[in-house]
Amino acid sequence: MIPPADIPLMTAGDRLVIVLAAILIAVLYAGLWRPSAAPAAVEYLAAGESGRLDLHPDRVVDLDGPLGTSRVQFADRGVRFIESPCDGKQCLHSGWLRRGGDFAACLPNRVALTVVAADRGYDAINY
Amino acid sequence: MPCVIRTGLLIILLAAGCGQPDRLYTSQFFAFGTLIEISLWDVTPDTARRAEARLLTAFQEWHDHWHPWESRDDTAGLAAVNRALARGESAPADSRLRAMIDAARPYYDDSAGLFDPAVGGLVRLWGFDRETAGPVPPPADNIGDWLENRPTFADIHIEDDRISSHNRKVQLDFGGFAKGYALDLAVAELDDLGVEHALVNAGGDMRVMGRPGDRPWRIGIRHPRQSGVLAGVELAGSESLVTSGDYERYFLFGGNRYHHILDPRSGTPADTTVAVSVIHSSAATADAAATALFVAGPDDWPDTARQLGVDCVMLIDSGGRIHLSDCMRGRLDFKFDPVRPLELTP
Repeated sequence: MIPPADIPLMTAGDRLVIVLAAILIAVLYAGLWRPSAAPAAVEYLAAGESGRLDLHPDRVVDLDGPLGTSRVQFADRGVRFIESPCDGKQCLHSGWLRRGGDFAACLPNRVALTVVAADRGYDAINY
Repeated sequence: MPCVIRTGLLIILLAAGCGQPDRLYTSQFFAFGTLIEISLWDVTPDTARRAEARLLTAFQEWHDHWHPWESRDDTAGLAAVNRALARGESAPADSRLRAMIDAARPYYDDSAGLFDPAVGGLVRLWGFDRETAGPVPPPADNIGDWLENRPTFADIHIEDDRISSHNRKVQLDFGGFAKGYALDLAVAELDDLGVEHALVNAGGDMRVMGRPGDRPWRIGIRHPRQSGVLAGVELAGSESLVTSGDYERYFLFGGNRYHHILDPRSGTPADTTVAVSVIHSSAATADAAATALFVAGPDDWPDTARQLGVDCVMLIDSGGRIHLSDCMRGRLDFKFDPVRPLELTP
């Protein structure tokens, strides 16, 4: 429908809103939208207790379970098991965990690590 | 200026959408002899808490009922049944145990005994009932003794709610079935709570329901020897993914790997397969099939898969070659060239 000639297509208020919207979108984009967030932390489960550890800085952390101490190493924004009192050492074979959703566990010692990130690479690992 | 107000409200709503909180609730706990992970999409905090509590209780109860050797109650569960069978006596079968035995029997029949829960005695002989198996294989004479008058699932009889067997060697171990069966029950529990979108992961085997938002559940299948993922696969709706691998429980002796998936025909670990992955709507079916196809090996798995009614299969043989059914070929996103054999170390 063609509007009557005496009514403008866009009012001064509309223009103001469009300008404000453009500014708001730019601010939100700069402030909130980031490229796929790099994993920053790892969730651990040890002897029934859970918590979160930052992937940075590089260090070695001991996590205690019913069989003894599982030792995990943090380096280059990744984490891995380096010692565990289990026999199979499956957790050590899991290697470095760096991507969101990466997971390793020492089941006999009941210690588990899961890398968390805003964008999880996988929801779960099948093995 | 109503137009300004309307437009302003729209912008506020859009901006609120940018800051939408993560609607994926995840929880982990140890139960059932493994790590259980629950992922729930779009549920209230109260529903999430009730779901976690219910599944924790359920997995602990199932473990108590179905563990072949351990039980809090000496007179109930599979452990009590195995002790009675070893004495040549019958034992009461509670409804849950009987339901699992009845559910497992078709897979024993359809796989021509390649999936056989009556291998419990053999599992103990190899030490895979303990946290620490090995460090050496059992003497050949002991394996020969077990093979003589070999116990099978067909030797189990249920009458008047009592389990018995004429063969005292029968010891039931549902290690190749119970996890999948439990996953199906776990999803039923979540459904009962009104959960529509979930992933339940029990020690690397999983069943999903629905989808997390507008995408499917993304799963990585572990490389059998290296750290990292061999292939990615997407699951949605009512689907399960189960993998049986020689890397889960094993020991090395004399440069050879001795793992927990035993061939009931030879009494030794099935040595022509490294891993089998199965996708199926039922996790119980996928679990039983993964075990049976692993034992069947690279030559015979297609026939066994047909008999079991599974059509989404990946088998990696001991030479590192990847065998795929047509269904599975269309679903996997490989991180390695699937045509070239994988490099496998013992």
